Amino acid sequence: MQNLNKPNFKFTPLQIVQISVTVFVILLGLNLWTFYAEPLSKVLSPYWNDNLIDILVLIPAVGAAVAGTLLTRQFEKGETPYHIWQAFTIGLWFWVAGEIGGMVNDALYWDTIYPDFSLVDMFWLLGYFFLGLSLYYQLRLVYGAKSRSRRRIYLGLVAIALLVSAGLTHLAIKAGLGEGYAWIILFVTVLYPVFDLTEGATAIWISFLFGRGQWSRPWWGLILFALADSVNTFYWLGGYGFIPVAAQTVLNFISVIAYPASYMVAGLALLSNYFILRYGENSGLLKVAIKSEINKP
Amino acid sequence: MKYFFRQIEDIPLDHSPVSAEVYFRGENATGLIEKQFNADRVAALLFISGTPGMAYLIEASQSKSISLAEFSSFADGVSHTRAINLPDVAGRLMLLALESKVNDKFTITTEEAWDKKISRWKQEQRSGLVEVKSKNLHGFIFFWQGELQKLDLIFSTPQGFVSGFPKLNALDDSAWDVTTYVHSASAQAYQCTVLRQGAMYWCHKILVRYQEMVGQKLLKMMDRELNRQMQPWHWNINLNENDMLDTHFFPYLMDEAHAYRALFMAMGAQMNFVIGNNLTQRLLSETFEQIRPDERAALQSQRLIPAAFSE
Repeated sequence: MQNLNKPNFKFTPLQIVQISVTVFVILLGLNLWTFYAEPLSKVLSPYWNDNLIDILVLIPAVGAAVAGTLLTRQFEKGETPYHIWQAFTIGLWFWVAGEIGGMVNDALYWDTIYPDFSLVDMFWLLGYFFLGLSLYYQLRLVYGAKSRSRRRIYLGLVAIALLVSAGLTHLAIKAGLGEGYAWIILFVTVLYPVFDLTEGATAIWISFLFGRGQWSRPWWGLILFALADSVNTFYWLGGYGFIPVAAQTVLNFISVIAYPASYMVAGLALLSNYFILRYGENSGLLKVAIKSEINKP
Repeated sequence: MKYFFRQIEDIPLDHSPVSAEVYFRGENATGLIEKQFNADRVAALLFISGTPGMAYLIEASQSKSISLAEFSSFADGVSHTRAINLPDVAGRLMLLALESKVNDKFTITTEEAWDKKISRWKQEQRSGLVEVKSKNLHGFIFFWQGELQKLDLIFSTPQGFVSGFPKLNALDDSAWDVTTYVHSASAQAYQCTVLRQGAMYWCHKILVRYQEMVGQKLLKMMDRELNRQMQPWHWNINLNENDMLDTHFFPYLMDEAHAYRALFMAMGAQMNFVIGNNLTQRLLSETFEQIRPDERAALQSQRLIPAAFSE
């Protein structure tokens, strides 16, 4: 049976997924503890505390990118799902590079001023580009390649995202924000939340299309990214000045949880899908067969 | 004189219809019992998976449905009784012939003439059964919208039943006697045929689209799972990549619809798990729209519709 061998490692795929969930829950707990209790700030310095948080985020980020790579390799190169998950995985690897780049920047500029635009920004933007591309491939596949109007709608959305970013940049300059910065720097700063919003909305759209289907779950990760980033954007825009402290605490908590959870959700979904494709019924992840059994004669 | 599939050897029984019945029931086999009166008059009883199905009296190439009791009562004047095993496809095409009227009869003497005929039927988008008889050959071919249906093609030859298309000269035949049939829309065998064509085509469209969405591995996984689930029913239905291959002999529309309903329901559940309810519904509806109107009507008449197969 091609590629459907029995798993020959110590744990079954189902157990591996369950262990991964446990590990991720522990990591989330550690993340929260490190963020709120700041244990290393007291013992060493805030720099090391920040570094620990970065590492706790980097672990699920690498996990998700590895799971994406494994999943992509399960498809033939000519198949459409191959392109979807390849773009998704490339996007994740760029974000892993962004996470690492952020740590490097912390090491280089912790005590000085961070550069306005660095390689890290390139990694994030390329990540958005490829994740957006995977969303585009997915939508195109769902609505059929022949459906020109749907493609136009999507391309229109991309164009709107760029135009809105340019418009917001213009408004920001008029309002005196970002004085002394180049237009492109401000544009990129505005582009992040706009991309978040666009990709988050598209991911929600796809999730609704897929319903509770197994193949919709990696997109849930993107929705969580958008959620975490929207809190950050709200903070940058000065929104915290208009809400009570209790609400700020709730938003902080959501942001701290949602950001690493987004990698975790995407990673677990990609890993499950990889196991299903690799081991089929032997993965233990296909419960539907039992439920949907054709009534015996 | 043997009437149907004369090249096929009789089951070595004692020429008694009772022994043949016992044999078919015991073996759960599909077969035919023929009582021959003379060259132009013959009674035929079809056994379907070990159960007596329908009986016909054929006189001067015209068939008439008779009761099983009537068939059993035929004893006087019977010159010979024979019983043969039939593949399901032979059984269902024979039943279709028996429930249809002869449309045309002609003789084919060259390969070119036969090819020309087929091209013409293709051009005319002819749908219907064609019977071919010769010294060394007897069989049926079903055409649908001008296309020869590879699953509905069977010939008896001295080597046994073959499901490939024979060449005129290959069996030392100098001519083929060809009969074309016209079908009554109310005939159950014809309704079964249209329903089968519709279900196979819809299934093909679903599987092609599903493969596009999830790739070949998940498609094969679903094929394997559905084939496994169908096994206890002993239907000769098999999912192979993006095709549903139905070679089962369903004599009754209700039984056939039941099988397809079970299959589509299981397929819907499998797809639901992978691509979710909305997309499954969408996929089923989109592909249903691509089916020809007469096939769609046949499916709808049995409530084999997209809404029935997604949660």
